[in-house]
Amino acid sequence: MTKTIKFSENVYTTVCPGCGFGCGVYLRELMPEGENHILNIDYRKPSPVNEGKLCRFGVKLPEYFEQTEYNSDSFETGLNEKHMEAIKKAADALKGVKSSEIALVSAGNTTNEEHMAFINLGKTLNTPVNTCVNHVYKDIGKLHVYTSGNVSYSEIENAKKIYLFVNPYVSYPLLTRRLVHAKRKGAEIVYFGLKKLPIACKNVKTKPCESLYEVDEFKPDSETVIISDITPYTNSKRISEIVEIANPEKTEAKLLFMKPFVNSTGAGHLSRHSKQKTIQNIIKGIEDGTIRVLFCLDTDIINMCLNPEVENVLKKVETLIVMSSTITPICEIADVLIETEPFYKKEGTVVNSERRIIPMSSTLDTPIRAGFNQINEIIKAVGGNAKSFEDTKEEILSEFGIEKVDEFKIPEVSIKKYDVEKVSDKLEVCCPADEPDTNAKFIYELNPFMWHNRKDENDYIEISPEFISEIKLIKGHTADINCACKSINKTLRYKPTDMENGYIFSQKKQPFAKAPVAKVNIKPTPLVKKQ
Amino acid sequence: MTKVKVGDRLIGWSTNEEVRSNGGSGGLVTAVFAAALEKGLVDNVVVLEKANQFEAVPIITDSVEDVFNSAGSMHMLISNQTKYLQQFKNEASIALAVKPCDMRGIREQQKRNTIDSDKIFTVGLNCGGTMAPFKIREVVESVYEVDPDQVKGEEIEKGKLIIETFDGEHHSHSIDDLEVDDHGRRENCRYCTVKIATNSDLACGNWGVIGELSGRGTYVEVMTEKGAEFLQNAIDMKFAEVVEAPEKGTEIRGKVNGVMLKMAANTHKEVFKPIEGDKLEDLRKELENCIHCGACKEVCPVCACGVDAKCNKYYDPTDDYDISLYHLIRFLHLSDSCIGCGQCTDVCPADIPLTRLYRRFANPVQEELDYMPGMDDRTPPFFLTKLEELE
Repeated sequence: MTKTIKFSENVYTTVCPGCGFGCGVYLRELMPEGENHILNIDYRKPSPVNEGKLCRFGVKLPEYFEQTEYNSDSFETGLNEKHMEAIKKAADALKGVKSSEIALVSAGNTTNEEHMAFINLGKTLNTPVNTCVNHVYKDIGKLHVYTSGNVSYSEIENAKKIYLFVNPYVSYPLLTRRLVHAKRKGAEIVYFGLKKLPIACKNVKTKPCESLYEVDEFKPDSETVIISDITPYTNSKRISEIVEIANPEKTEAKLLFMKPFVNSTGAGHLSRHSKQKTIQNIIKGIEDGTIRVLFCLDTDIINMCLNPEVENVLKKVETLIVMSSTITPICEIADVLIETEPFYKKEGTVVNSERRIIPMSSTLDTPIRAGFNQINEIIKAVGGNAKSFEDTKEEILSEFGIEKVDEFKIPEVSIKKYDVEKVSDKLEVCCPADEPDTNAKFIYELNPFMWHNRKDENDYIEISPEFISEIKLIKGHTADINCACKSINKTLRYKPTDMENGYIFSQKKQPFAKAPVAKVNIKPTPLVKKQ
Repeated sequence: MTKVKVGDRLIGWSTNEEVRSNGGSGGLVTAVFAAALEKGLVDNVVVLEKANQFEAVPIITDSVEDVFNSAGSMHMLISNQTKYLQQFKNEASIALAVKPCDMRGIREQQKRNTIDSDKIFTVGLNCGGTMAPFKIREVVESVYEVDPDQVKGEEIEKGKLIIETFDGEHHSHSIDDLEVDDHGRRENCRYCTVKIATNSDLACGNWGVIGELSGRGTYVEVMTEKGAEFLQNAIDMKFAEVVEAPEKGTEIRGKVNGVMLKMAANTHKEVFKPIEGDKLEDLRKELENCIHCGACKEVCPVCACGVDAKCNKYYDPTDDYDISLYHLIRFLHLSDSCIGCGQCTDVCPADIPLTRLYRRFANPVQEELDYMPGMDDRTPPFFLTKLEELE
């Protein structure tokens, strides 16, 4: 047998960072001697969340990490010369301003351990960690009990009636199999939205801003599981109405709110007692100069916001500190950039949307804790007491009321009231609502590719066949879409989809729509005559 | 004993008593791999790194000690090893244990030149079927009423799934009973027609090990010259000992295989009974929840098309066909080569029974062409098909 080159291999038992579903996955790092590492996925079939199954984003994880990770070999401790220089700059900036002039942001794209260390930094600086998702409630104390995960995915499979407010195929694809199982067992699935979903037994036309009090079919009872989601774009009025009408204490209906980021639920829980700011408040604070230092932990506000103008606002902050495991747009404009190890290499835990605490580990002899170490160094540099990784783990277990992490059991957690600043409950629209020259409403279908600003084959719109006829789109050609003020135009391919007339959907961020729902004008792209 | 040669049927075991006791069926496979590493016949061995009884990942090692320390059942390792091997791009020499379907995938890839047979050495293990790890964990808890964390090992024997706990107790249930409630083997395993990996270098297992060697020896059939060389090496290096298999043992091995195949034939008849009504509508309905993740192609051990595959090229996300061209092309493309390993079904996020659908197309084609992919060196029939022959 011919002698060949030497290989070594690490396997990381991790969680897909695409959304808050919590899919287990192995990332296999193959290292040919003297060459760059090669990353592959293995399907983690023993995972209680997804039994190894992954969506389109999960299948492409090696590509995602390879295109976004920093030099992977420099993270043994995360404290090399370059890192320490950035850490010192960050600490100096934080020490140079008042507590009220600092905004710490961590939306849940990292582990509980890093988030907890970040909270510890916040305590040292006397400022809260803002998670950016929990702003949607009108009355957070009342709703939070119902929105932080109280239904397991396996309960979906045994439900008799399921009310869906998310499109599982697009937004949380691994929900699909749970719904398939439920349907096989005889569940009645009702989708409240504007598309016709094959999985649904009944599709009830429900507009994004429509009051559920006016939707006769929305009658939850003790046999109903309601599945919706909470994202930075969520219409808080819709969430309120779901909870008010379902009234779980009275009807015993169950509510499951999916979350957009891998550890949204964990971060939300750990930060639950702090008085947080919304993204809008933070942006306003930067604009009026009351926020002078913004520190984002694995949270790209540019990616998160639909309006690209936010980048110019962020450039105005005195010091923008970004600690990031991925190369994203906000890293480009950071005054201080602290590079950390890619998410799959992190040791620690995350909490998924059903509130399952999932451990992440590896076959490495010494686990990588670069991000955690770096936050601790900043804490020390600003005069605080850094906690060890083990103590932090203990603190997290205590926060969740458990003695050890067991991903096969979902811990019962009692939720208490907490408060955030109130915001408008209206959906944003980027152009005047009464603009006469619009003929359609544009709606985003949120998905992991969009949250992570990744390319996919999704740069097209969906539109009903009737609407295609009405506006005379030509088969095989494209459509031109303008925002209401006509300042932005884009030509896109279209897909005929069984859905409501007068609407168009996209799974990709589009320049002509700076809000979750936007009025637009759509018409056929003029045919160019051959010369 | 004379030199080992192709066709030999032997019973072997590790000379290391600890390995013999801890390893599966006498530790012969461990001994052969360790000796191959020690001698330099291969640079790497694939071992299983266990997180618990229900979770193990394959990982390469060049350490004889690691090989000795790894041993155990493969019933829970349900990924196909073909894709694992392909990532080394023929730049490493590797020895590994395989299930028959792993080996079928590997042999199909050898025909497509993505795996170099000179670079690998395979020990095939008898396989009565594999179980989805999460499902079996649930079954242990709900049917066996055993704490999953107390499980030390499991074994399929005489039609039963036996769970051994750390307290030494054995808990067993009939596989037939378990499968009535879909609690047993994966569906494709139930109708799989290759239980002994005669397509590998050495075909090993515990069927046919009788008498005082029962539980302490491995039945091995030498299938190739390389298999003979590696086994001889283990004997020469005093890592293993072998004796000739008794005729009765060989007979019993054949009988066990026969019973398994009969069960498989019955399941096959049940699963592939003719579809009543509109076949196309049935297919459309089965595929309606597809989210086009592409995982079924990613894991397919016989697919070697890469990113420019026809199934991807002819698929357009803006099409609104009732059945996407992606699936239609794959059904056609794989009909001569599908090995029915079940990987596509395993990874489908919409739980579409893809293997069953692929087999619906492949069964008649492979029967007509008299081709059983992955079992010999015959060129896949579609490679040879010329348009003029079809006219």
